[in-house]
Amino acid sequence: MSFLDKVIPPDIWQKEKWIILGLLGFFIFCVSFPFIFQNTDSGIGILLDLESGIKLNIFAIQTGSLYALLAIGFSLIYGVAKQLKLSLGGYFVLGAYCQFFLLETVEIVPEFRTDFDGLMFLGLALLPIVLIIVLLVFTYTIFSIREFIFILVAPIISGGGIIAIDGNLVAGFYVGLAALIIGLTGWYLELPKREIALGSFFYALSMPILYIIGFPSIYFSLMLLSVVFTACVAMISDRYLLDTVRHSHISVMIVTFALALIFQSIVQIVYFPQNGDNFTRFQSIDWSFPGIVPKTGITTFLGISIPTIRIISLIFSLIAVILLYIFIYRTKFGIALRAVSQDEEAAALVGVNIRKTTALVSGVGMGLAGFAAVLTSSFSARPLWNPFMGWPVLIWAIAVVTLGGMGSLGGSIIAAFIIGYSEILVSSINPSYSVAIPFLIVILVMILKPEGLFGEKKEVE
Amino acid sequence: MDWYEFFEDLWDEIKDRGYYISGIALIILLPSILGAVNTPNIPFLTDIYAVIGEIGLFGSTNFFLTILSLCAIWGIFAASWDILSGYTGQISFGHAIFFGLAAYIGYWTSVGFDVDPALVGILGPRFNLSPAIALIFSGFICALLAVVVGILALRVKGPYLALVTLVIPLITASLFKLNEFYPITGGDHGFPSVPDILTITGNLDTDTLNFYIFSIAVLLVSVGIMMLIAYSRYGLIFQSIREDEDAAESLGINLAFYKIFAFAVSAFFAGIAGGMYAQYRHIAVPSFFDTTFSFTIIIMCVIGGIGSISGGVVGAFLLTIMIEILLGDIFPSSILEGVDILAFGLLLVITLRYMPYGLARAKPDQKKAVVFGILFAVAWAIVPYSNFIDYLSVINVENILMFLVMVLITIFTIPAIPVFIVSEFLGLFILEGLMGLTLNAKSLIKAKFLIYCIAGIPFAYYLPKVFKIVRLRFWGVWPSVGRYEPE
Repeated sequence: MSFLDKVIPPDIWQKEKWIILGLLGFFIFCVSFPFIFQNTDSGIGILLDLESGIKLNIFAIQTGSLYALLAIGFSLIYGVAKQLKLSLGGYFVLGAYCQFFLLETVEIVPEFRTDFDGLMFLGLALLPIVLIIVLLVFTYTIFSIREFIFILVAPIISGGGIIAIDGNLVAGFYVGLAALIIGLTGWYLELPKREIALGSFFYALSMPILYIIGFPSIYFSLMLLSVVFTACVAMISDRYLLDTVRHSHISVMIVTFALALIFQSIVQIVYFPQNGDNFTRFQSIDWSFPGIVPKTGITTFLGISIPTIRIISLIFSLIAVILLYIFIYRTKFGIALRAVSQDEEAAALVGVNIRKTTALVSGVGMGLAGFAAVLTSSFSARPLWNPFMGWPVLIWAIAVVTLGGMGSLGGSIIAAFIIGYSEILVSSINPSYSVAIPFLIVILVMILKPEGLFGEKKEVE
Repeated sequence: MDWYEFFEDLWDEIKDRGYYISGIALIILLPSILGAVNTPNIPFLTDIYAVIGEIGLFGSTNFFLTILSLCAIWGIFAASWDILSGYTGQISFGHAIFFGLAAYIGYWTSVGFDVDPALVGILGPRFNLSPAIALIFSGFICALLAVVVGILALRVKGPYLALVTLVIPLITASLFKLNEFYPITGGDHGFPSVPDILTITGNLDTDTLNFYIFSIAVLLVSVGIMMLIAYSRYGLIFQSIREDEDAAESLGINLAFYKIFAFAVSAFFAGIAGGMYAQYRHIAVPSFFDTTFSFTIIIMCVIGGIGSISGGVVGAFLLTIMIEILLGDIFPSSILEGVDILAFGLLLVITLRYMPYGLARAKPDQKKAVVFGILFAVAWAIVPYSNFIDYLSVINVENILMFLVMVLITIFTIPAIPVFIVSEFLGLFILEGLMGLTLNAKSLIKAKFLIYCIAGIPFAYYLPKVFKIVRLRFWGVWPSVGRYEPE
């Protein structure tokens, strides 16, 4: 078996020959286009330029990887739970503003300390206390006393370390909370206790040490917390709101859309009390990966200058995709997940807990949306900071997923890069047309090839 | 089917649905109740209005009539969604495309293509048609467009159709916002002055009343037509397509024709609603294509009950009155938009969680709970202010009746007293303490009404169940304690 056969299995090559060839041609064109054609004053001219070519390629890959994060979640949920969750944009908003709220709580953004009103005060003062009580009670009821102490060690080490070094109580609390959540996630995933302990201790020891070295471990913990928070909200809403309507596509879509509306309006009420006034205030603050990367920071590599934030976001999203791959293809839960996506009843017969699996999948998918939000929040231009920023995200994700084929992970990744490239290329020619691309793609694909590039032709129940 | 049978069926429907008749009668009589026109007064109802009017609960008569016209417009729009999605099962998440487009077509046909000659310098072709013709015309153009959409939609089914229709209005809006089309579409700001269908007399009372009568008339006619379609052979075919396309096709039904027909009918009435809304607001802007518009009618239909044309209308009246009269007075305008959307979302989630088929087909105990909860809330919000002892100052039959009704309501709500007191304390703490609102007398009543509704409906639902458990516990056969009751 040659290497090529491993990359593209022969049967797929036979079936999808023209699609693969077409994609190859498309990507070769896309990669080479920015090197050759340049936007000059008199339209587009042929002009070899290495720097802008590399720059545009990196932009496109980074955009594509962000879309891939969003689309994988959407596609995964459709594949396993057979639900089209329109609340993707809502969770995007939730993740972004959760991170903002946490940053605010740790008093990283000093501009905001003066003007918090009622609800904000409630959150700032009571939320940490309530969280502590709930988590302590929760952990005490699910673990025996020995495991309880064992689970509490990691938070105490990491949080106490941060408090000892930095003196910031709230920051220490949140770092410890992240450690506790790592332990609980491990328990929920039914990992062996040894692995939970290892993970927690690794985290607990690394956070203070990394903080001394200069890594912004507080922000890292906050990022983790907001992602996990998004995932938890998704899992809880999946359990309590979607149970009665689980088998009707349309009801699921309506309920999830309503959820997105609810998140959006909560953000609107809490953070945007005056119409129009505050929409600009989020853009003027430099709070993206604070401490290491200023928003306007630029890395110069081989004479090519690229915004640092894009490189960091690219690295993080690649890491997330790799972790997701490991989760789906190498863990026990991933096997259960794929089993459910193939045949729900057979999986239930073998002993897979269907409800837990679907809840976990919606948690993972929406957590990815929250992660993408946390990453994207660092750009200055695109997600204009407002409560409505979820809708474009949803549309992009729908475009990617329909292009790649519903429920097909590889298809959505490829489609994400197609759309990322086409968006960047078009916007390098004329930015005002880049908005229309996803819409056109959705409509054309839906009408010409409704199952997408790599989707299976399935009857909708 | 011959005509005799048809009218017999219709009469049966009317007999079955007495509440339609009473609702229509109420809508028609409202202006006279509110004192907008000098028709013979109905003494009992004017008395109630006097109680409400002392506090100015519904604002001025004109305001209330305006809101009711808005309700009628939303009712047409919701019913048009229901005939496509509730009856035929072709779920459209982007019905606002017809709504927004009709607003623009109304402007184009009644004025012309030019936006602002002073700024643009282009004076486009002018049509100067009368707005009434423009309204019908926009309906027909929307129906034509719907035929195109319907032909495209034949290829996609179920959730995919919903996705496609979700995206279509967004494309249209982004096209309308482009600078290249500024002379035609007015760009971001749209058109500021859409001509009115009725001649403006300058007298506010007359204008409001005229628009109210016009919109209610259009509502009755169009909902009547839609109901005729829904109860005819077409309606049956639509339902069969919704339930099982393959089975319907195997019975010889031309799927393509009926789907496109449903699209066209639905789009026609959505277009009329859009044209009327543009005339109501006097603007035509790209935000008419918003997803919020499409989802507002879905919420209305879900609350009223999907698959019954009247459900959408009922939902439209409930929601619009709630938004405009209840929430509009409690919350300041700076957060009103967010609060409205929050209310929409919560209502939708709760309705689908607890009664997935809406009010129309809810379980009897749920229906009773909603009715009694709202009654409790009305009584508790108004009774302390209405000073109903005054009714006894003049002794006659009406006053004694009113007094007895008030006393009865008070007695019936006695079990709710602790719940209402606690909920009032909590709710007012959230509104006044946390959100920092300042409530005057009018908005305080409405806020209390809202809080009592939120607390009262679950209370009215669980109270009979608790009573039943208590009764069974002490007097019944369950849980095997107490007296044995032979059959």
